[in-house]
Amino acid sequence: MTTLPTSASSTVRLTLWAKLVLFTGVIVVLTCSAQGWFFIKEQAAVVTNGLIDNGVVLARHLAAGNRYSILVGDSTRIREQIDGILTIPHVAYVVVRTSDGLVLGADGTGDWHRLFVDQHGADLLSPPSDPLPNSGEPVTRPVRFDQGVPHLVESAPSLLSNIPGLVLYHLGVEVGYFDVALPVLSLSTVYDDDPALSLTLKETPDVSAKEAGLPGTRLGTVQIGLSDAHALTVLRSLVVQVLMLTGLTIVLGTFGVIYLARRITAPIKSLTAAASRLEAGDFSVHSPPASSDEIGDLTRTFNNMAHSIEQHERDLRELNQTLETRIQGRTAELEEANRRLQELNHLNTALVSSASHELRTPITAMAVHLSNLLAGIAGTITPHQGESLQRIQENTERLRRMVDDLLDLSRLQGRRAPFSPTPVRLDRIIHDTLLVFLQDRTQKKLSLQVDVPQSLDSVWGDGDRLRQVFANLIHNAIKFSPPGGAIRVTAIGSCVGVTVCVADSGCGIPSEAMGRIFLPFYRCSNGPRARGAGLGLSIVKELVDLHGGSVRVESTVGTGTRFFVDLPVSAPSCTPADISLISRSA
Amino acid sequence: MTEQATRPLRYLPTISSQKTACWLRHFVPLPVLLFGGLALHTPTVSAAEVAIFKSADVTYYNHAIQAFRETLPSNTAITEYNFEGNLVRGREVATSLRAAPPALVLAVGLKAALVAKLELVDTPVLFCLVLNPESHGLSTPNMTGILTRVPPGAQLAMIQNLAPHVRRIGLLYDPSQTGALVAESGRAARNLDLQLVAVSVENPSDVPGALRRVLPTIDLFWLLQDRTIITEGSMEFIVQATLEAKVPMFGFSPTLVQQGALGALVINAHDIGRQTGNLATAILQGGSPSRHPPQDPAHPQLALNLNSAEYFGLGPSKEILRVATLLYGGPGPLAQREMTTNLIP
Repeated sequence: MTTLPTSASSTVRLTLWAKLVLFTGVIVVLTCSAQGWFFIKEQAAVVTNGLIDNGVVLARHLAAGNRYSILVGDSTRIREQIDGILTIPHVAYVVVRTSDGLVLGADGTGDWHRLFVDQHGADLLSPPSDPLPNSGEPVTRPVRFDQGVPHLVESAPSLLSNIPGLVLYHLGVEVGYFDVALPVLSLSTVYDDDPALSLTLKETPDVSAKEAGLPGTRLGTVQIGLSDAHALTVLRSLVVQVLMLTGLTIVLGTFGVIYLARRITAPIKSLTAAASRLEAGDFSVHSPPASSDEIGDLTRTFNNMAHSIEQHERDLRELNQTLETRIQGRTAELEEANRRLQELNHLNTALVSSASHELRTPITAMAVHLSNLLAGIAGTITPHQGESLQRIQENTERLRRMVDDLLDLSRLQGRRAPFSPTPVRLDRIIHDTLLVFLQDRTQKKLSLQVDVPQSLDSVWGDGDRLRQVFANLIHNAIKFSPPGGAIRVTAIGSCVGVTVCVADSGCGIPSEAMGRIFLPFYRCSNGPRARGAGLGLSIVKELVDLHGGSVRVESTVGTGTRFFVDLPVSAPSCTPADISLISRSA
Repeated sequence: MTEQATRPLRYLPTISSQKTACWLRHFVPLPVLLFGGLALHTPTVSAAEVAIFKSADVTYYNHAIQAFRETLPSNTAITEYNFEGNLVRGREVATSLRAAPPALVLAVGLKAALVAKLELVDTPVLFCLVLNPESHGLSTPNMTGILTRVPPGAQLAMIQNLAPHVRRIGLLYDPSQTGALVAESGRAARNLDLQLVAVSVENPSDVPGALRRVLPTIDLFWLLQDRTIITEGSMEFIVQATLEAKVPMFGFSPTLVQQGALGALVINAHDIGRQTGNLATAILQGGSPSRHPPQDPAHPQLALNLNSAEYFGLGPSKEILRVATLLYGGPGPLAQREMTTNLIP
């Protein structure tokens, strides 16, 4: 069955669903946490600023309403005002002092009240980097209250550091304080429409005289301590709500992510299963599109693709069936034609064999009668008649050889030629054959070079048939070599067979005729007009094939032609077919 | 002066009507004066040179100078010098004028008056908008002017008209600054059958305690133009303390009335300038400063806070309302205080 593609050498395989859930879940958690943290941070800043702004408003109110009391040191009124301010819940203490540092009034609630029993307590809250600027802007610093001793901290006031304590409420949250110090400046009001008041306030003959209460002069300082207890309570409630909301958002978001991942991966899984079935050859697979988004488009495209593949597969199958049918028809036709050709060939061979056989008898009778006539048995013949009879006898002889060749060829092609293989020594056969054609070679003054060693191994063949092979080749060499030419016969033995080469110095064979020279009745057109029916090389080829050997030719037009006959060595254990195979492979 | 302060004036309840009244007051007498002058055939003032010494570039100084210029004859050559608060520079200017002194010098503000006193001995000098000229020795023969303080008798009379039930009037004063004024006030009070409770204060830091002590014992608190008592910071405190003690305060400043004081007789820079111009015209026509002692403000205006009057249980008469030129009805700055909502006029 089909196996799912696996990533190579992957130890842990994360599914798409797992990746979606993991990554999106992480993003949801991080985003919710970050938003929750930033919201808490922002709210802490808002609560802190609100507390401080409240303290600044109180300080400004106290300063504005008691500017003159501070200037003249009216501690009675200042203490009354401080008592009023201390009724506000988150005010821990109030200290009012002159520009010289003299405390005009100081009081507090709870532990702070005990601190301000004497001047020393207020001195502990003196700003370390006094004096305050004359800009009229308040300076706010955190105050650490350790064991009844306050310490001003030179840092930005913030409730942010208390957030962890608010979350882990049981560990306790230390109540902190903020000290708001506001310089009290003299007024700089101009009374242009009130000359009497302006003259009363500002008329002085000496421009260098220093007057108390010049505009912008610092008259004193108002310090208000703010407890962050109430703010922390508000902030804690807010933090708890934010944490719950964040947790709820994370949980809902995680479930949403899981649901969404399932919605995304379910059609992909369905598509994967469908693709696997398609891979297995089930072209009828169909995956219903679950949505109208990209995955739905992919599913529809897949279905269309599967449908197209199914259609193509059906067309291919039909085409294959058609082709098989046509091939079978053509094969039958070819077989029929081949059978008819074989019958025709058989008929042709039978006809040639029969005709040759039938022609041989009268030719033989004609030859006997011609011999009798030439011998004078039937009476004396004139010389002129003798010459005519001589010509008739020569042509009859040629006709008889032609009929013999036809008869041999038909027998060989019909596998009816007698074949009696025995170990044969080729050197003797070649020399015997050369002796037969000694007269013809001498007449044409052809030189002969023979290189056939006596040490050649015996070949497995029919001696008469082999004589016929080499007789035809040597006869052709003599016939197509010009007078005074050269003939060379060589033989080389090997472990598998013997190769005999018969070369002449004739006109050569054109390349276009090289493939047809072994066909019956074929004669080259470029050579001298020689007698013959064109059956010699066909008989040579049939005989060599009968011995399991092969014959090949190399020729150069104008130079000569070389025929190579490869014959297997004698091998009693081998059949002629085996010998032929061995020879062909060599 | 009491007659002048209490003379019938048109009741102008709105700002637009106040402007109209002012226009009428300024321009209706013009044709009368013009034709009257022609009919009487008074001798014309010859072209004269007048120098104006200005202590500094202050709005109310400029208003007074503008009114002074408008009052003088049109052919008067006027040269103005601004000392910009620099006494030394003023003395240099005055010294340079000795060779060809002007016919008259107007000194606006204390520094200008001091310069004129020190450098111009023979030239007639008029001063105005100087708070306590007598304490600065501006009573030389060649100097006279217009006082900035409304006479105590006029103020006490106005207090009596405004709050008839008041018998004990308290005040804080620094003997070194307003001792003479308090003595004069005591005499005027006795004439009006009023009891003056005067508490001397020599240091501004003693003001709160002195005020707390005196407030429970008086029916009305009278605020004098005393630089020891009145400071930038003490104004609001005094107004607030009197409101909390539910003791009405009468003063000299419309600003304080606006902030919660019951009322005040206030001066106007234009009126002062115009009055100074009239005095200058008289001197330029042949008069001598020695024959014209310093004059009280001729046209003090009554400022009244109706909310404060209601808060203190006072119902100003229609006559008072007609006389009052500056009426305030809105809440003062203390109205924003929650703790004293019930105290707000």
